[in-house]
Amino acid sequence: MEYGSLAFQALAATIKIVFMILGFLMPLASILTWMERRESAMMQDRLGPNRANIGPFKLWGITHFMADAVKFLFKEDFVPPKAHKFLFMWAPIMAMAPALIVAAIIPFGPPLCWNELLEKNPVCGQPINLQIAQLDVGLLFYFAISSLAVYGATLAGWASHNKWAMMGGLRATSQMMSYEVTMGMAVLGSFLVYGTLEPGAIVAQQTHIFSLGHYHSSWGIFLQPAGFVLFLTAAIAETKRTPFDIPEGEPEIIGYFVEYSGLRFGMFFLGEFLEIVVSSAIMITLFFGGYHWGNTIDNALLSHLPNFVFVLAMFGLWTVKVFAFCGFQLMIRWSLPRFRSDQLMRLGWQRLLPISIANVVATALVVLWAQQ
Amino acid sequence: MILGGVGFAFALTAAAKYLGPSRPSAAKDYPYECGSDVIGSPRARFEVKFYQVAIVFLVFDIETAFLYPWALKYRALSCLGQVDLQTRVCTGGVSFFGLGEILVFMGILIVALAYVWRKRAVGWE
Amino acid sequence: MSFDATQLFAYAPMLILIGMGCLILLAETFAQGASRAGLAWLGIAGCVGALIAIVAGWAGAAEPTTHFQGMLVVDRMALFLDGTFVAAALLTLLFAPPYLREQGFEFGEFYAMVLFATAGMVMVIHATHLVSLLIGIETMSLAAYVLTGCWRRSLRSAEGAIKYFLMGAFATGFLVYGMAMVYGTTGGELSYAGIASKVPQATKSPLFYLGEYFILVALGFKVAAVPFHMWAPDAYEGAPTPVTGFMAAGVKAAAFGAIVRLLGSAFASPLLVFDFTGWASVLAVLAAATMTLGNLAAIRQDNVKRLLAYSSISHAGYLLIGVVASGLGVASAKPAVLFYLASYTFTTLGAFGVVAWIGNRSDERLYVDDWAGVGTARPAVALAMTLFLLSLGGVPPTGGFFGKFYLFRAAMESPQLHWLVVVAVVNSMVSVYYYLRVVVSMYFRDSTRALAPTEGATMRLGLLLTAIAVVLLGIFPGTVVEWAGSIALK
Repeated sequence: MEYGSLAFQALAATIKIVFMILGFLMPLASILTWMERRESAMMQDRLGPNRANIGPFKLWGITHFMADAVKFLFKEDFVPPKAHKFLFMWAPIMAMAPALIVAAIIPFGPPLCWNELLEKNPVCGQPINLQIAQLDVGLLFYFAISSLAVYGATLAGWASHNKWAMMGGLRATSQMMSYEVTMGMAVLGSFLVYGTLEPGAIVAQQTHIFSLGHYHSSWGIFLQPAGFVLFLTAAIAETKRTPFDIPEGEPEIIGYFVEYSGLRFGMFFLGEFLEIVVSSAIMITLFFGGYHWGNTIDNALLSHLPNFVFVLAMFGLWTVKVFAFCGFQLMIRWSLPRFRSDQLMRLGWQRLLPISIANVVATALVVLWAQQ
Repeated sequence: MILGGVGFAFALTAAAKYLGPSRPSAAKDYPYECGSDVIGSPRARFEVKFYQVAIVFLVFDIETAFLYPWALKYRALSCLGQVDLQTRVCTGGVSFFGLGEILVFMGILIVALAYVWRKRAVGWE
Repeated sequence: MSFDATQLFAYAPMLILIGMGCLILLAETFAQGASRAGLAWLGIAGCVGALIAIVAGWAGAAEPTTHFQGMLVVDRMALFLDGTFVAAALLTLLFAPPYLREQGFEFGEFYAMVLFATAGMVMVIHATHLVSLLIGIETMSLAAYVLTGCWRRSLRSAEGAIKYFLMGAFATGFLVYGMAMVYGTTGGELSYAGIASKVPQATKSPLFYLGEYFILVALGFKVAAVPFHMWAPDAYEGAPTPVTGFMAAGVKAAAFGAIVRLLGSAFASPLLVFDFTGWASVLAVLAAATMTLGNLAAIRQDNVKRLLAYSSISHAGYLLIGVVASGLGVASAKPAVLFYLASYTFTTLGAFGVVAWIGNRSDERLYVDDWAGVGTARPAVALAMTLFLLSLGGVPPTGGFFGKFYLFRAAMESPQLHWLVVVAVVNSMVSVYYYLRVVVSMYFRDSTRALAPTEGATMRLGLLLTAIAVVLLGIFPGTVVEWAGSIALK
C-alpha cells in the first residue's frame, strides 16, 4: 500500500481510532474504576477490592474491573414504564460518546516515520501523525463536543420521569454550564501564547521544560500557571465528581441516572472516568508538553533508538503522564469535602470566572510586551 | 472518530438490551423514591434560577467563542509590521488595536457579569 | 490595523448611549434600595450628551464617510434620524418615571434598555453592511421586547411581549435567511455598495430576488406594514404606554431609515425597482393596503391605545409612498420621508405621553368614553392632545400636515403614483374622523368620574416639549426639511 493513498490514510485512521478507543481509553477508564476504590481504601486505611483473580493471577485485584464489566453486561436492562423511551436510550450515549470523540484531537506521540522505522534520528519523509484528527479548530472542537455531554445528564434527568433524576439533571446542567465558561476562558491564555488552537502544534512547540530564551517553547504550566489551576478546577467540576458532586449527591438524590440499571448505568459511570482520562490528556497537551519530556531526554531517545521504538517509548512516557494526572484527580476526589450548591455557583461565577478574565488580560499584556 | 465514539456507545446500549435478562414486575415499575409513595409528577415547575444560569451561560460562552479567533490573531493585531514566526518578535511598531478592541468587548461583558453578580443570578443563596 | 480617534468621535452618540446604559445598569445594581429617580436623570444626561455629539458632528458630515471597512457610514441623513431617535429616547425618559412610579415598576433597567434600544437604532441607520444592520436591528429589538414585557404585573404586557418577541424572532429569521441568499447570489457581498455592484450578475438567479424580498419582509415586520402588522396592536396595547410611544416612533423610524438606505443603495438598480419583480410596485400595493387597513381598523377601536396603534400602522402606509417615490427617482421624496418621520415621532410620543398621563394605578382610562370632560378639567393637556391628534390626521398648522404635504407632493411628481396619492388623501380624511372622536369626547361630553391623572413634573415638561415641537414643525417646516434635504440631493 502506498503512503498517502486514500486506502493508506483510511487504514491508518481506523487503526488509530480502534487503538485509541479499545486500546487506550476504555482500558484506562476501566482500570480507573478499580483504582478509585483501591486508592480510596488505601487513603482510608482499608483493604479495598483485592480478591478478583483469574486463576492464580491476582494482580492486586486489578481484574475487578473485568468482573464489573461482565456483571454490568448481564444485568437486567430496566426502562421505567413512564420514561421517554427514545431519550432514555440516547442519554447514556450522549454522556459517553463525547468523551470518546474528543480524544480524536489529542496527540499521543511524536510522528512515526513510515519509511524510516528502524533508523535512528531519521529525517521523516513520510510521517504518520499520532493524532487521529488534525483540526485547525482543535480545542474549539474539544469544547464543542464535550459540551454535548450536558445533554446526557439533562436528558437522563428528564427522560427518567423521576423527581430525583430531574433534580440531578437540573443541577448537573447548571453546574456543567457554569464551569464550561471558566474552562473556555482558562485556556485562552495558552492560545495567546502559542498562537494556535491545534493541539498537535501546541505540543510541538513545548520542546523545553522551561527555557527563558525561548519562552514560548516552555511547558504551558510555566507560562500559564493560573490557566492550569483554573482549567484543572473546571475540568474536575465538569466530571461532576467530589468535591463538585452536587448533581450526583450520593448521600441524597443519587442523581440523574437513578433509574438506570445494568450497562446503561455503567455507561454513565464509565463516561465519568473517560472524562477524567480525556481531561488529563488535554491538560498534559496544553500545560505539560504532551509527549515531550524536555529537550535533553527527547533528543537522547531520538538519537539512540530506532524510530518506532522511540515513538513507542514516547507514547509510553505520555501514558505515564496521563496516568499520573488521573491518579491526581482521584486523590482530589477522596481528599476534599463536597461543596454546597451555592458555594459551587459562587466559586464558578464569582471566583474562577473573574480570575480567568484577569488571566487573559494579563497574558495579553505580557505577550504584547514580550513581542517587542 | 465521531462514528467510532457514537457507534461504540450505541453498541454498548444494544448489548445491555439484549444480553441481560428481563423480568418486569410492578415494584420495579414504580419510580424510585426510596420506597416512599410518589406524590405529584416529576414534570413539576422548577426554580427560575436554573433558567437564569442557562441564559447567563449563553452570553459568556459566546463571549469565549468570540475570544478564540481574537487570541489566534492577537500577535498580528498587535503589530504594525510583521511578526517573525520563529522568534515571535514583531518588527515595526506596536499596535494597540488588538488589546483595545478586546478591552472594549470584555468591558461590556464585565459590566454584564457585575450586573448578574449583584442581582444574585449566579450566586445562589 | 490601528484605531483612529476620528472613528470613535464619529460614533460618539452611539458610544455615549451605550456607555450611559451600562452605567445605569451598574448604578441600579450597586445602589440597591436607593431612589431610582436619579437613574432616569442619568439616562437624560446621556441623551443630552448624545444630542450634543450629533450637533457637533453635523458640520463634518456634509460628505458621507464610511468607517470600519465599509460597515458604517456617517452622513447627514443618519445624523438627522439620530437626532430624532435620541429626542424620542429623551422624551420617553421624561414621560416614563412618573408613569413607572405610579404603576409600581420603576427599575433602572428600564432606562438602560431605552438607551440600548436607541443605540441599536443609531446603528441601524448608520449601517451600510447587512451584518451591521442585523446587529443594530437586534440590539434595538431585543431591548424593545424587554421594554414591552417589563410591566410584570400586567398580563397584557406579557402577552404583547411574547407576541412581539416571537414575531420579531421570525422576522430576524427572514432577515438572516435573506442575507444568506443575497450573499450567495452576489458572490459573497454583504455591503450595500458591494451588492449594488453585483446586481446585474446576481439577478440571473431567482434566489437573489427571494433574498431581497426576505430582507424587505423582515423590515416590513419592524415597521408593521400590512400584512406583517399582526403583532403591532397587541404589542402596542400591552406595553407600558411610554414604551408604546417609543416603539411606535423610534423603532418604526429606524426601520424606515434602514429601508430608505437599503433601497436607495443596495437595491437601487433599475433592474430591481421596476418591472414585474421590482419592489416599487410591490411596495406601492403594500402602502395602499397598509394605510387602508390601518385606518379601517382604527375606526372601530374604542381603546385609545389600540386606536393609536392602528393609526401608527396606517402611518407606515403613508411613509411607504415616500419610499416608493424615492425609488421611482423623485429627489424630494427622501427628505419628505425624513421630515415625516421627525414630525410623526414627536406627534406620536406626545399622544402616547397624554395616554400615559391620563391614567393611574387603579384606573387606566384607556377608552374613548373615559376621556370625557378632560377639556374642562385640564384644558392645557386637552389642547396638547388635540394638537397631537390633528397633527396625526394631517390638519394644518401642525407638523403632521407638512409631513403629509411634502410626502404627497413628492409622490405627485411621479405619474405612476397618482392613484396612490388619491388613496392616501381619502385615507387621511377617514383618519380625521376617528382622531376627532377623541377630541369630541374630551370637549363635548361630561365627565363620568373624577380625573386623577399621573402627575409628574417631567411628564408635564415632556408634553410641553412635544407640543412645542409639533407646532414648530408646523411653523418652520422649511428649515427642518432643509436639514433633511441637505443629504437627499446627493
